[in-house]
Amino acid sequence: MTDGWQRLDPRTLATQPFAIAAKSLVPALAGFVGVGSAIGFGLALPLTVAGVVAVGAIPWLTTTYRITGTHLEVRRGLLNRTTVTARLDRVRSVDLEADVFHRVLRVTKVAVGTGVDESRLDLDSLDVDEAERLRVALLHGSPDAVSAGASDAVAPAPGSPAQEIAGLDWSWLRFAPLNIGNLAIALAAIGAVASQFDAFIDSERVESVWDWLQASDLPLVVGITLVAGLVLWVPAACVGYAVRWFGLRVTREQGKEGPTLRRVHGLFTQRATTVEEAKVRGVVVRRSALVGLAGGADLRVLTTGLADNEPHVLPSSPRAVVESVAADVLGDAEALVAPATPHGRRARRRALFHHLRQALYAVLAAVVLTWALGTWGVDRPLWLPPTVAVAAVPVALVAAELRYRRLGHALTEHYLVSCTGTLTATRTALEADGIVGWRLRQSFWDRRLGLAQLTAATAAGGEQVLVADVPLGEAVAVAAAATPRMVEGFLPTEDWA
Amino acid sequence: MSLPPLTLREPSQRVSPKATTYWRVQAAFGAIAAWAIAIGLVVTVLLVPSGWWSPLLWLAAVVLVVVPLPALTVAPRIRYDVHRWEVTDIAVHVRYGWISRTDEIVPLSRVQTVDSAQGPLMRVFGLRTVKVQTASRYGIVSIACLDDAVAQQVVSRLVAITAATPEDAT
Repeated sequence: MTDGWQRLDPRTLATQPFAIAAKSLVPALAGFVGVGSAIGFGLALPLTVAGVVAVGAIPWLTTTYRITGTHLEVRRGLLNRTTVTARLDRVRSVDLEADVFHRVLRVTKVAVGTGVDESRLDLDSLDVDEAERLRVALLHGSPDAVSAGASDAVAPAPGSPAQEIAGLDWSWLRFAPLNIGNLAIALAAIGAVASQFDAFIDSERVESVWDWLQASDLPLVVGITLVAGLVLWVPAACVGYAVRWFGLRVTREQGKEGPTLRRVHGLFTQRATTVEEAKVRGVVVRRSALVGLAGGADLRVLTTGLADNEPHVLPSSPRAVVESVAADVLGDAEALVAPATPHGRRARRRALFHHLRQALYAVLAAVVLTWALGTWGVDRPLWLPPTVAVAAVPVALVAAELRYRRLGHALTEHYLVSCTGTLTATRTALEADGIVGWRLRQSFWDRRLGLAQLTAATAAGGEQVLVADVPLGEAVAVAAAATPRMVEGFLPTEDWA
Repeated sequence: MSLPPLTLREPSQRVSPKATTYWRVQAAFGAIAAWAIAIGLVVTVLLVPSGWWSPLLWLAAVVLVVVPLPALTVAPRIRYDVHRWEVTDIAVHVRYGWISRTDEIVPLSRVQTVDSAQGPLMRVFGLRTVKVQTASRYGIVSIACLDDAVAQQVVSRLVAITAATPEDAT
């Protein structure tokens, strides 16, 4: 190509069909079966394969990229030709991702982020060495290495070698089965697959299962099901954890605009994400119910320019490790251990009402169910609503107390800290310098209680950090203390004296 | 570590006095639609034989008749009293809401775009809304219902100040 325009790696021609086939398996199969039954499968098979290969060739034929002295430019599109341009000094992150097909062929996907979400540049795919060279050129600033041509030697990263921050310890596997959230996802997936076979489920089978259940010892059946579920879940969770986090390494390198954080992980699909540390605006430490009880937590960072702006840095791992890594990333240990200011008795009342309302809904649901069973001709289980009430009220009281105790905020020299959670305790630390706006909201009920919802807007992560149910005066004080320059002009002069 | 409580002072500027009428007319369109549906419901209840749904339909009709009333009567006045805005050299502050209340502050050094919008009904009243956006979708401030001329002034002032701050706003 002229002017230094380069194509994607030719091996893309081999990886793309697999990616397309994996993404559109159902329509491809439907098309194959539909066309096949019309013109015969002997003809349909090569046609389908040819179609997939042709579609897979389009990105390779139409995408080119180059690095000039100041910009990275990507041209793409078959009918609508677009050129996406990113200034090199605005490049904040480089994300390399290679699934099994890519890795066999030694190519990788490259995503370049500039901190402004709309201008992400994706290259699918480049040779592994070429991608690494591009990453080094973009973040460590030696563009000659790429623009001069592909055959040059790999440019070494300037400055000191990578400094290791964290690595996977296999003893962390003990937390894997405690992630009940993943169990729900797994069950949903199993349910989705099972629903494909609903043709095999007819009323006769259901009745025979029902009869068998009636005949057998119910507690025993439930017990065996639970044990069997546990026996299946524990290894499945461990394998899932191991596959996802195999070879996890978090390191710090010296980039052209300051240090960068790099995270590598994955057994089959391998991922290497590099972000400029200046763009890491905070961390989220989450202790989900069982993991938290077992002394574990996970760690995410709030960043900009990635597809997922709240990426995991550590999976479920011991809390001490999470806190030391988080302190290292933030450069401020105080933000992780500073005691949170509670939000007072009115916030406690709010939490109590919230959970009692939920208990009320549960009781109402039980009443409706009892009534409905009666109309269907089944004996009304009149014991059900009182039982639900007796069970739900203590649960609500405990949950409300837990919610209140976990609610709080803190301010350190550079960070705003917000703590929330009922079962899952979450501590979010956001750099005050990353706050791009405040929203202070009071609903009708908030105004009666004198509480407010304080939202710090930021470009990083989920783009907001909420300090919930905080007394109004305290909320304004927090905003004024975190960003004095922004807020001070809007305080009454006598308050600011 | 509990900070001494502070309050935000009221932003100095009011929105255009024409805003109350604008809000009322806007609410009238919604009210007409809601009342039309309510009439439809009443007619339905009277025509079809009554069943367990009849009281529910009556209830829905009453709700549809009553809900638009505040927006036609007292709400615009309260909103006009509450709605305030202020632009300093450092930040924009707006306050709005008539049942709930919201204060929004965005520092001008982090502003990415400043634009103004005018719907067809706003054009009739000569009103304009100025919208200030940052890199966060939660860091958006709208100064609603300014007089057209004031809005143009505010936009050019905001553009001048934000252009003078060279940060990349994230």
